[in-house]
Amino acid sequence: MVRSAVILNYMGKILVIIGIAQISVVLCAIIYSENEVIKLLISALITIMTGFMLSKTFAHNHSINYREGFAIVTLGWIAASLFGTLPFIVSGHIPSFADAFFETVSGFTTTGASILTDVEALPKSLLFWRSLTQWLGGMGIMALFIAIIVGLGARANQIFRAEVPGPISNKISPRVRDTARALWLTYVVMSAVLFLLLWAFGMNIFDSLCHTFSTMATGGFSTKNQSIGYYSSPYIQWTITLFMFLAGVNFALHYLIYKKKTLSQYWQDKEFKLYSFIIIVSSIITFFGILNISSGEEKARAAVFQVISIMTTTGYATADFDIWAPMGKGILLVLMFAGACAGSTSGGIKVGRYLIMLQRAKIELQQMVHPRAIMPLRVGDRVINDALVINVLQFFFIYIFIVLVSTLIMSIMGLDYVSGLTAVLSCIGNIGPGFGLVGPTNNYGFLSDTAKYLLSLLMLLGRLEIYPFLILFIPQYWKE
Amino acid sequence: MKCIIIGAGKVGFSIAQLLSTEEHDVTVIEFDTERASLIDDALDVQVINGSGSSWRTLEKGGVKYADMVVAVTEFDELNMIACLLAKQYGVKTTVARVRNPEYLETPHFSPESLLGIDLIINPERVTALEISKLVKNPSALNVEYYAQGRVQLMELAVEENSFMAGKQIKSLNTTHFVIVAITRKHKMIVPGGDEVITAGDHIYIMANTAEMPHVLQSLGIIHKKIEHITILGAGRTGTYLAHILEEKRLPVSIKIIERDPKRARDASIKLKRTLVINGDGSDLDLLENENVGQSDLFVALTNDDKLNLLSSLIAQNLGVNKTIAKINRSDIMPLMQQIGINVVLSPRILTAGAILKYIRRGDIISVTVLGEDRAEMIELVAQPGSIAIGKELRRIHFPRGSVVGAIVRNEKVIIPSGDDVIQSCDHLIMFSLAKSIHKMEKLFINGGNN
Repeated sequence: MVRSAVILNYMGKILVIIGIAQISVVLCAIIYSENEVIKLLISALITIMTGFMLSKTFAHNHSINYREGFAIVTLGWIAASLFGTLPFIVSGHIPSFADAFFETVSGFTTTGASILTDVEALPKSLLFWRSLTQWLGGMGIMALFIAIIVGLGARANQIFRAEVPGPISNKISPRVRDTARALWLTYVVMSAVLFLLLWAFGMNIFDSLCHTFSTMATGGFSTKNQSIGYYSSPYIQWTITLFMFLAGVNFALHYLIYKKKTLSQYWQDKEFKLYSFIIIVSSIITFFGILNISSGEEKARAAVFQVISIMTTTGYATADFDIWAPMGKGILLVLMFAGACAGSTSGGIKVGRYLIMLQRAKIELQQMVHPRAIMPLRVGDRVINDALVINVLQFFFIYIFIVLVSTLIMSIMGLDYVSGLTAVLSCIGNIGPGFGLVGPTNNYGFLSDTAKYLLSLLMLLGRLEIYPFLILFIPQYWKE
Repeated sequence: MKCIIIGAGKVGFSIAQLLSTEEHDVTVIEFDTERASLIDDALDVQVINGSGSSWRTLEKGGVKYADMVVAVTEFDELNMIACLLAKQYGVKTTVARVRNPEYLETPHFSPESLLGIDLIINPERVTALEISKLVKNPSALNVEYYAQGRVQLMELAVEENSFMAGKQIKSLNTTHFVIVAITRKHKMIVPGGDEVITAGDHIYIMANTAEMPHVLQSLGIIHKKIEHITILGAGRTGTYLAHILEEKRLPVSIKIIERDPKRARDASIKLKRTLVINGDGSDLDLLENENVGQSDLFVALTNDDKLNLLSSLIAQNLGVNKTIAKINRSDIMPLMQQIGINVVLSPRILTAGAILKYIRRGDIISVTVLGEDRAEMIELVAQPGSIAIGKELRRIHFPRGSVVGAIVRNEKVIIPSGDDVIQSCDHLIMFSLAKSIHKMEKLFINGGNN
């Protein structure tokens, strides 16, 4: 049975956290003495008060049951996205609700797709809010919630699993709360290092902070119209490249390596290996697909940067890849299906799932030769049970199916198929830019409201990895 | 020496038998009344009917005065507890049979030291290790190593077309090896130079490990490399064997056939480079489909003797050159070889041998039990002041049925002739029939002449 009181109570608590995050936006506005201080304060207070009222009204001491876990995660994300629009709407900078919702969902889900034509026209406080939503959504609102809130009990694990991307989640500590804390701590520490590096290489404090937020979250919101292309310094570009790559690695792996202090552990991880391999091969292919840059280092930098940016589903751009040769564009389109590692802040299908599917394909073929053979599916030393294999294959199917149907809908709405397909892929994969009309130099602002809502839905589906979201649409879920 | 053996199963029986023929005081503790009276009738030992983990029974068996306790019941835990108890009574040597790999495969500490048991023996593992040696030496029926692997003993079958057949031993060039024994029609012979080798004999050859390939070549035995192995049965022995072969990283492809789906699944999870097939080992169709005939070696390791026999025969029929079968009933071992199965292994004899090897160490460094006739390979040190020192081998009066196979002196292996002189602290690797062991040992022990 799903008890609405339980869900509303937790949604309230989540909103309080979102509201507190909005207070930091108010502080930002005060620092830069912007006119929006009062408006932002109002929106923050609305969020906090609503959250507070909800959690008080529906105060209870039940523990969460299995089904409620899914609803808390999915509805929690939706609530965060709804109230996250307030700073944009109340301040009047993005008056349309559809636009504000798209922008906020794009933030929390670390997609980085924007409806804004001129980002630089926004006040600093709102730019900060855009980047902050990405940073919060990157490691996960629920993970943060679990790390902060006391007394969630055993079901916290389920909420945690529903949010952490990828087929296998490693619990790095016996208590899920300690796991969430360890992951958030790793995330914060890495963010701090990136911030200092960007600052040292000449970015100003504000831009360093915003770019740190959206890089670590593999989000892709920039404070500049030209994205990272604005910064011509190779140091800044290489630093961001490196940290996008790191943010695409399983954070549990980072944490374990920090604990064990042996870098070789990275190489023992099968997913990390494949992830690196794909990046290296794709970068080489892309290198030869770039026509408009002649200098070697610059060309290599652009290739590696763009490959990692798309693969990790960040979505930054240093160059207009829409005008590259078909080979360069082709590989980026393929990478839109990939995604980085499980347990990272990236979106997409993820290398871990491909690893399982590839192994499964191999076994399928081998079993045709030896029909009676028993071949367990291994990833590294781990044996993957059949239920998980089916879950992964099914995930892949639903993912592709959703992409197909959504592309069809986009084309019904009048979009050409390159723009339509890549917009859908980009949103469900939490990447950001696509090709054509939604290419790196364009934005999503021209789309109809319906299209924006559809894409927002896809972003949420992608971020929560489909199942926790879809389960709410099964009638039995709500029944006894 | 006073020994208590707990559990008179197959292994316990074998050890009791061996020790009592070697004139040790043996007490057997057995829970099952029927089994206990059977032992009482068959062996010259004291039998106590009771549980080995009870202090009363142990005291009744004279644990206070015992030098050694060997616990070989069916139950791992009981064996371990019996050994722990025995240690409390001050027994010097304790040996326990433990089969569950979970107790043994601890990566960080030795289970022996943890439990205070001197030797933990696992019959399945011993059997698997034995077979793995045969994989490395495909022409051999049996392989043993002595003196830290420097000296090798091999059992070889003499084929009809072998040039050795019909020759006297002295007509062979034996500077690099010694034929220490021959088994002919289930009897073990210690051959003199006049002995004629006949087809169908099994000869035991001892040589320097490094020179063994040349020796085999000179005897016209060709090593056919083993590349494909089919194992029947993914029980403990089969899984161990595949695991050992995987660990050694030999360039072999291994296939295991197991009937029970759950066992097959467990094995497939444990073994990373082995192909596990779920099916019946006596199903001709399956064996043909899985191309078993192309294997270089077929190993039948199920718990069913009849199935092992049958499937080995099928495998031979399909074209497998070499077959190894595990047999629980050791009395039918000779029969199996007659049928044509190349190597027949009895976990019971192997385990008894391994335990014996351990309990006899001291003056004697290592012991191997060969065949059914209770012949042993013994590795010992010639003690200063013993009778044999300073004498040429031909002047030493060896008891009947014993022979020196190799001498290891200052890390160097000498394949002896009659003119070699024994020096003190020589490591001797000797072959002896059981009844002659005591006499022979005396030749090399200080003060052994009285």
